Amino acid sequence: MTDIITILYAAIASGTIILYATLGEIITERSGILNLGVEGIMLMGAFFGFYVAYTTESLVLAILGAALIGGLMGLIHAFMSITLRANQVVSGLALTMFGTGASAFFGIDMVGKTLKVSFEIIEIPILSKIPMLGKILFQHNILVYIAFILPLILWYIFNRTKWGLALRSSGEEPLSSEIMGIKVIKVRYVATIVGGVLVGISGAYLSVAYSKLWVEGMTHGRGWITIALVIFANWNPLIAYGGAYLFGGLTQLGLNLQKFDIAFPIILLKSIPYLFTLFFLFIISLKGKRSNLPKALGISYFREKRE
Amino acid sequence: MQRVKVLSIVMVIFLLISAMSYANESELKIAKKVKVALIIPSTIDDLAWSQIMYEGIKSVQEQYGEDKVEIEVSERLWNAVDAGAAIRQYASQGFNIVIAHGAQYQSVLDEVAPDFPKTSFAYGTGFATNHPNIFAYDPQAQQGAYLLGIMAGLKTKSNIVGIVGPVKAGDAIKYNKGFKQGVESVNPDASVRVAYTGSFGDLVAAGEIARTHIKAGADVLSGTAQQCVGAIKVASEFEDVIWLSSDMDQSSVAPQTVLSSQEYNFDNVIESIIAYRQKGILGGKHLELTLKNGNLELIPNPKLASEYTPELETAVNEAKAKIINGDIEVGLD
Amino acid sequence: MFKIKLEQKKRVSSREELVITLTAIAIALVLAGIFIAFNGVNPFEAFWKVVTSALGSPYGISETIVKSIPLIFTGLAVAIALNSKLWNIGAEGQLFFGATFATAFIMYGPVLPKPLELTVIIILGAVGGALWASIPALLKIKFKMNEVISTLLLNYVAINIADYFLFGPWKGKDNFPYTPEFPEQARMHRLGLGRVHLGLIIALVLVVLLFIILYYTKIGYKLRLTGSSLKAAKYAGINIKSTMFLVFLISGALAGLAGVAQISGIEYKLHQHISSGYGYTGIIVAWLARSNPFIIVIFALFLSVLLKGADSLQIAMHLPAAVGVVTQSLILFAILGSELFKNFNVKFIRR
Repeated sequence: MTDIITILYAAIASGTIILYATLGEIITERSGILNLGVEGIMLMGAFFGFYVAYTTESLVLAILGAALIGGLMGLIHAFMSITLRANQVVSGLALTMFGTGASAFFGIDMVGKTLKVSFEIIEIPILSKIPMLGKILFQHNILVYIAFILPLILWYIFNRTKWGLALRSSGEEPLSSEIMGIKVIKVRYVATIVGGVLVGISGAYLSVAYSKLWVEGMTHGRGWITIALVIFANWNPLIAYGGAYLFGGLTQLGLNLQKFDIAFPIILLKSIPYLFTLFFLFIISLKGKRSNLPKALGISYFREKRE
Repeated sequence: MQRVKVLSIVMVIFLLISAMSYANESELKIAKKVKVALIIPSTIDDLAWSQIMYEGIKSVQEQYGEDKVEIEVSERLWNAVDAGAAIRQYASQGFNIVIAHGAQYQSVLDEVAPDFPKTSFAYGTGFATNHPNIFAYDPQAQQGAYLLGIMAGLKTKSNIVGIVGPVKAGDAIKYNKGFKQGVESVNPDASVRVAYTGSFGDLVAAGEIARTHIKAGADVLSGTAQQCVGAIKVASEFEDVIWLSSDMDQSSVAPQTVLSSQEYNFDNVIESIIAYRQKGILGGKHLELTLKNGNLELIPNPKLASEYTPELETAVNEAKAKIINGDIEVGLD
Repeated sequence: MFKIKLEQKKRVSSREELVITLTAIAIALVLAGIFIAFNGVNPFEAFWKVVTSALGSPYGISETIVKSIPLIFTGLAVAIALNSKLWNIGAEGQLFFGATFATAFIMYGPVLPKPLELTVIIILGAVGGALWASIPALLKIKFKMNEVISTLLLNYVAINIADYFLFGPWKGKDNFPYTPEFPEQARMHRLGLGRVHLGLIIALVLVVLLFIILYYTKIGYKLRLTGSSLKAAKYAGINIKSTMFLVFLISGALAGLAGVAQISGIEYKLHQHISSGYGYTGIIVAWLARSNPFIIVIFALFLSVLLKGADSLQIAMHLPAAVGVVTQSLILFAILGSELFKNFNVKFIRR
């Protein structure tokens, strides 16, 4: 029993890394911009967050710093793909290369350093005393709790506000949105930058709160997983919970099964999230259900060009 | 400062041992400048496998002077293909000794070595020397692991010991086997649980495994490779958890957690290679690092001196003596 | 405030295009130079070092060519799909699956005379890559699943499958995750210049072949028409679904060949690091070359010079390896940005 609680607790803690990034990418993609630079942005956020935490010993500044650098990376992608109409796939790949290289380059001095500050575990009164559930859900640090609420806020914004409507229609029908008075370019800029901010924060959560260290390339492909999870979540922030925590859970389960000497090839277990996502997409299309895939995703938008 | 202190302790111990042991290496005199190139899979500050080799070469350089020993290092060459390019480049630039620090470079060396018959190449962990100008060095990690296992067996209160492994291969298997035997020799009731991250450099995953072990009751942990620095950080969050290190002294990562470390004295290996070259032997030797020849030793963490009970000291020292005189053979089957 | 006004250009002369691309690369190198200067190294010396180390000696040239071989294959793989407006982000996975497929034969199959053995391995590698690419192809054609996403996802699965064998049944001595060395029969011939191997000839033959197929045959016409306009293709009576399927198969086969070239031409065994992201770099190569097979060779070589040069920068100038990656990304950004100037007349209007 305690093992199950341990696994689920760890699933939440490690799922939070990808939850932030997944939510960020959902915002960006909903506006019609595909950002394959998540891995690079995450690394920049992880490095810069750690750097700020180390030099200023302020956790708030660390998170703000990571958000800022993430936003800047988002801005680069926005400028390339919106203003310069560059190909989004290539721009995203370039961004990942840039982030991977630059974080390794500037982060050399931070390798092996120990932070003097850390996010404390906050036990939520009453709730943390609930048997099992309390231990799994309500004994985390503040960033995990914020991640609990964030998808709800995003869902509300997407579906119940004017901004959400503008965001979604920019990703679906940019031309007719423009006619209806939505400033598509502005919306896409904001969405790409805000998306970058959240991905940057996910990096800082990873380095400052979760593993408390910086080492180059520490995301180890988590950014790419995010891109898969966005599809898994069907661009819906509420399903993103499930995706991120499920992925966290499977990772932890893999580690735990080893401990009990269960002869299960760990390496194939690692494939489960990807196969699951493919299967999920497959089911959606079989049922003929409409996926939330933004129709204009990845397509440059030319206001001047009318076909 | 911390590092300097630890290093000076290491140096003192090393000097004592080398003074006691076979003196042929200390007679080494370098007349002509030796150019040494080093290829490492991670970085010179990875606190593990790569750093300890770098420090070994550095200490040789400090001993003989920069005018006698020249060093070039290429980092982050895990990929043997990229490493191959660097190895060739160094050899063609006239380096006398090219050290490719990892088992994965063996086949690259086999390919490059015949083209540069005057250059000595070295790699490890390994034993095969397929060309007359290749040295293979071979830390017997299971020996120190056995001693660390004894410490673990005596220190654990929960009788659960966790190992954070990198890839289930080579050195890690050797280490884990020795460690297990050490634990069993003093505490048959303790269970040793092993989990692997599947990567040498995924510090985050190593941290996750450490946390999993601890939550499942483990109070003594150990592990190998560069990745376990992540695990040590996690272990240091828990007050009554002990970590036992390998490859190099890692007490600087967590001074209150790392009880002892197995360290490789690669400086002796480098000196042997230089000495062999002076005799005209460019390779073909299998250089072991063992407790017996002093190239492998335990570095206690002075900050945790109070943890060393007389019982523990005796058990470890006795076992060490037995391994050295051959009474205990740490098996690998 | 300035307002940017764009007017679509009718046609760009190739001279103009060249000038714009070269300007972009120059800007990127200036930026990279600033980055290098950060480390206290003279950027001019560093760039000179890159050029001389990659092209200044027979050894440098041979290593640059060796690096470019898998890039030509993956570049072609991505390009053939791009020609039909399909994104194959999965060349990395197809490379691994092709290599695994071919390795299976070497591990379990009979030992044949060298020419026969090599032929079988090469064909199996291509078949493996094609098989792996057929999954996203079917998903796209039958269920309209976006190929960018499915190919990306399958990369991880393919690499995990290779890992399964490497950590399991094919585990080498010392239990390290690599297969035993291949027998002599399974090793591609060397061409007499360093480690340059038979893969280069295969790659160059395919470059010519694909160029002919694309621009001088009916199939090529179908492929290109499907790419330029689905409607027009339908109107012309082309079976779009089977055309797309064919494109995916060819693309996957080419990526699989990159895997074979690596294991049989260079590594002589299968392990986890047979590719340094060649599948992803192939996307960049194909895109920079605008899918033209001949230009792919040029850009594959160009990126190899950078990769090779970055190695030497680390050795000779003590620059971190990251500088190479950053420089590549800056060049990409600059060329990406320059696209705008190729397609539009850009005017700045004062508000």
